[in-house]
Amino acid sequence: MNHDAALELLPLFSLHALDEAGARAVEVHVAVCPVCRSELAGYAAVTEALSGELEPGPEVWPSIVARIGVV
Amino acid sequence: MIIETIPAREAEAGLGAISSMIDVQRSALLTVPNPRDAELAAGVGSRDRTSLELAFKEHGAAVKGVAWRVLKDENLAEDIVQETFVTFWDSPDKYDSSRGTLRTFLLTIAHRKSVDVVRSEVARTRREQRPPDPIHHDVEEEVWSRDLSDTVRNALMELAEGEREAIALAYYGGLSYVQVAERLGLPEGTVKSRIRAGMKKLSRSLSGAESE
Repeated sequence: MNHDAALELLPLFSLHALDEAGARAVEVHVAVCPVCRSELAGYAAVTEALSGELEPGPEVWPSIVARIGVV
Repeated sequence: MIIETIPAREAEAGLGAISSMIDVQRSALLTVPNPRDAELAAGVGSRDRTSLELAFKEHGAAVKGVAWRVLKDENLAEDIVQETFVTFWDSPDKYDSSRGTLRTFLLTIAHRKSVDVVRSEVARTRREQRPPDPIHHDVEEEVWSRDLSDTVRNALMELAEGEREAIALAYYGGLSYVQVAERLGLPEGTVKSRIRAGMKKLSRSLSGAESE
């Protein structure tokens, strides 16, 4: 995928709105393109702002500990 | 606009949880690399449980927040929190602090996993050739949700209605742009253009708000 095509798809990529093949192609380009990485950081700020916070219940951390198996 | 995703009975528990949403909003600053993120990732890489616990304490609520916004279910959202931190534990080297914050990295994992849950549910109901037992993602309701800051809400309200709708269906509804187009009865190219234009505006207005 060339730069212009990837740049155009970044907003959709940041929302996970592309299909798997499209997302992979964008990912490959972003890995080698600082311009797209910087642009993507801007969209990441948007998606973070669109989400709120909700405190996990008290059982979540113990469940994670049980899964990772470290004392 | 209303879309259908996961069973209503699964949503009931989650709907009650909105009252406990913390009215905290993160901003564009969060994408600035933070040296502490690299330390935490290195700690996790050396199998230090305390580092993972610190990451959980700092970002667990945001991770659950994004999962809940997509899944509207308390239990499913907490499953995603578990999965997200176990994924980070298993592959801390996938986080590159020079490319963004740990928070962004974790939220991206959580959103991706939540989207996978929605899409597998959509696929299952299609396979079984039955209509989904829906919960509703109402776009306007999402915009006015109490856990969005005024800055974000204002930025969303500055978008054209079609842009707002397409972005909300993709991000909160977990739909691909092709599915958004199907849902709205619009050409795929139109939906792509609306998402692109809307996200560019949001990116500009939120980074502007941050620098003020």
